[in-house]
Amino acid sequence: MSRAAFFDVDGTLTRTNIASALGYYLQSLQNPLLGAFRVAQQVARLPLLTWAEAMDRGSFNEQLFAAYQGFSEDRLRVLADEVVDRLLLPGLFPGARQLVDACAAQGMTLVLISGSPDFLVKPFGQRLGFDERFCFGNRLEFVRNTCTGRILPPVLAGPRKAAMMRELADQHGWRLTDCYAYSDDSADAPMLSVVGHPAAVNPGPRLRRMAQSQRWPVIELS
Amino acid sequence: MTTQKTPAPSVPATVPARAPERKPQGPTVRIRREPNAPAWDGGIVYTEKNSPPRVLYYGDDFRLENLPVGTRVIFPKPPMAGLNNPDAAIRYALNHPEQSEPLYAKLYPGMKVTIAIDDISLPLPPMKRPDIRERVLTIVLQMMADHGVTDIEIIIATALHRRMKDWEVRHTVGEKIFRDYWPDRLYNFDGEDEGLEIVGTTERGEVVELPRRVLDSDLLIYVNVNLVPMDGGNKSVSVGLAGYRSLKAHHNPYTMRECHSYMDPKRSSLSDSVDRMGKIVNETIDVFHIETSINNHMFDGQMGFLMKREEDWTDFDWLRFKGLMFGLSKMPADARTAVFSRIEAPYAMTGVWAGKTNAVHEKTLERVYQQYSVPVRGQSDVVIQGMPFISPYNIHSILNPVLVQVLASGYMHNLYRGVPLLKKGGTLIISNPAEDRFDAEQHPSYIEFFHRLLPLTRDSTVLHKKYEQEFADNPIYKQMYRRGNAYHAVHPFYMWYWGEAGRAHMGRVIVAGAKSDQVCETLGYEPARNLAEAIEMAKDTAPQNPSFTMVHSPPIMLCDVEDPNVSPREPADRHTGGHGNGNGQHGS
Repeated sequence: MSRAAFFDVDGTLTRTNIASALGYYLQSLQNPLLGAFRVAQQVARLPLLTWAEAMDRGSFNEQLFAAYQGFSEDRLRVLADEVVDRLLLPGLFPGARQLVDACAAQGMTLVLISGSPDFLVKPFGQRLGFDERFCFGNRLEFVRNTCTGRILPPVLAGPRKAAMMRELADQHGWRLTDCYAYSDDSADAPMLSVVGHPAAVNPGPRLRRMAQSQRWPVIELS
Repeated sequence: MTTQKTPAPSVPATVPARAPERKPQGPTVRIRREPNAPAWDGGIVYTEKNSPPRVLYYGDDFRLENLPVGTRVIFPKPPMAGLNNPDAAIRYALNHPEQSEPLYAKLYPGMKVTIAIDDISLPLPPMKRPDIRERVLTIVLQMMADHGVTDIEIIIATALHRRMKDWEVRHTVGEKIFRDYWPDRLYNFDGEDEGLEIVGTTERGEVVELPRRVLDSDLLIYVNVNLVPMDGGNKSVSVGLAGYRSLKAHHNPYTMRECHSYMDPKRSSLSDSVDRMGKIVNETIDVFHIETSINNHMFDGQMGFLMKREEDWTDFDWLRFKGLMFGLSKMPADARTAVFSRIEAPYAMTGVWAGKTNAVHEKTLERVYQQYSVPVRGQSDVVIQGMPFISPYNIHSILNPVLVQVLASGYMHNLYRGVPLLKKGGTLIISNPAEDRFDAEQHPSYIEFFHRLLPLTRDSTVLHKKYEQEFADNPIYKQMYRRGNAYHAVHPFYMWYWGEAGRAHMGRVIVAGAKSDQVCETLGYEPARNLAEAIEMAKDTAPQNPSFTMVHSPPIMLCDVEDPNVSPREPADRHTGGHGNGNGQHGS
């Protein structure tokens, strides 16, 4: 039987959130003063980010990723392995690897589908045994090797994740009713709704309430 | 009130005028009753016009119902007196075991010992502290310390049940043991652990597996609490410490439909299967089995009146009951569940034995039957039974529809020896709201089982062949079982299989007071607004002048049903009133 297991990353498999990697990049800038300045800039943008988060996850990602503006593509990609090894993997929830392995043992295709930048999602997925072809994150725009801070459309968040899952299922002949999906965030409700076996992982209060009303299983990996 | 207990019968020609002499069962142990327990009069009461209404459990609520005149009401025996000095009895059992050298003689410094204990599914409701397991463990651990044994691990033998929470474990084993051992050396069994090893296969192909830790140990000690006859014995180790690939050897429709009943090991293919597996276990490791029996004292304090017959209720008891009913009626469902979850039973230990598994279990069974068996003559066309708030699988949780089913068609039906209390094709009336309520933390796979599978089929064989493995492989359920507090994914299947023999025997099941027609329909039951309506419905398919029997339980009892061809309304039945010796002694 051809089926897949779709995983969100931040908060689902790892303790980190989508801003953690950005923080790592900012503090590793060669000029510490510039690093401090960029961090302060982000702090000043907190109200805007909060507003964007309240609007929808896509807007939030767009606002947050604007902070990558000016980074060279080389630097982002070279440091990605470091971010994965020093930040994401140590932040893995204790049961996360077990869950991924259990899905792999059932012959499912493992798919990472995250709002994080794709240059992070791919190496992270590879470390956990995911095929690089099935690691999806948001793609940032680069002009002359420099990040513009814009996300190339479509922004991978909320309903777009669900749409991508449908497309993948069509391409690979997966029956979504046989597929599994794991996420921690209520913004991923569409992603959880399109599969036959959704699970709320370490859910916040909003997703927990949603899981309760939809009778989705709740997994605590932490 | 003129409820007749021992009338002078006019005996029909087909029934012997005198009941046949009963052979005493077991050795001549005189069993004392609790000081305030009423004398045992046989436990059968016939309903008359002026009989008081009966209390029926209704999930986490009660119903007060008038039964049809002539209805036979079967009551449990009063609680046996507990042992005067349980700790001394435990020490005596350890030092004078059955077919084994004393425990102290097995101990030496440097040895590796694993102790396994029964989980929270026993007893029901959970008992007040100190739990029997705490008493036994305290003495066993002290003995091991005295003999220089330090490499000790305690495994809670959950099989595919949910993991016990830390506060539940603390309640069970006591503060000191919890502090010293939890969580590194006192932990829940994991039926999905890669460390489970196959140790053999029976001649019937049943796979026997045990945890690596147990196989590495020089001695396995099992501490059991025996509530009903199907507990304990070889089932303790070969089921309690086994995973899915082993349990599926007997937890399947084929084995379950060959049990008549679960409570009668001689006529239970489940018991045969675990005995075969137990033989391999005992050949593989040195097992020192400790079994305990308890009385049926389930309620005391504010709920103490539930231990009495309605005839014996004082005005204050009625007042308390009405107050309780009023209070419950004002509470939301979750609050009612929480209230009932707090009930702790004042069970007392009535016996303790140690040594070789089979020899020990024989002694335990004898004592358990002395407490629980009630001799009854004649089956009934209609059996009425309240479904209580609790089952072995919803401690501190909700009795969901699949668990209502396992109580009705599984456990309650199987509480017999001889023949079932209900005639073949008869009608069972249960009192339960039958609501679509599930605990998503403890019973996640039950939700999918009930809502996705049961509407497709109620056929156990199809469920077993087509869907069980899919559930077993589900990574979500696996993770919730291993890391959370969920029952294993296949547990609802097992619950359905447990009802297999009951479903094959019963003609109809009517749910009195059902709040959800859809739930009843999914289970294959029929809804009725109340008991009166259920009785009228039952009469539609019953013979003329049907016989009615109400099982006044809990406290639970085991009906030793004899003479299936005798009508329960025949006066000959009333001889049971003479089985007690009149001075409060029962048992032989």
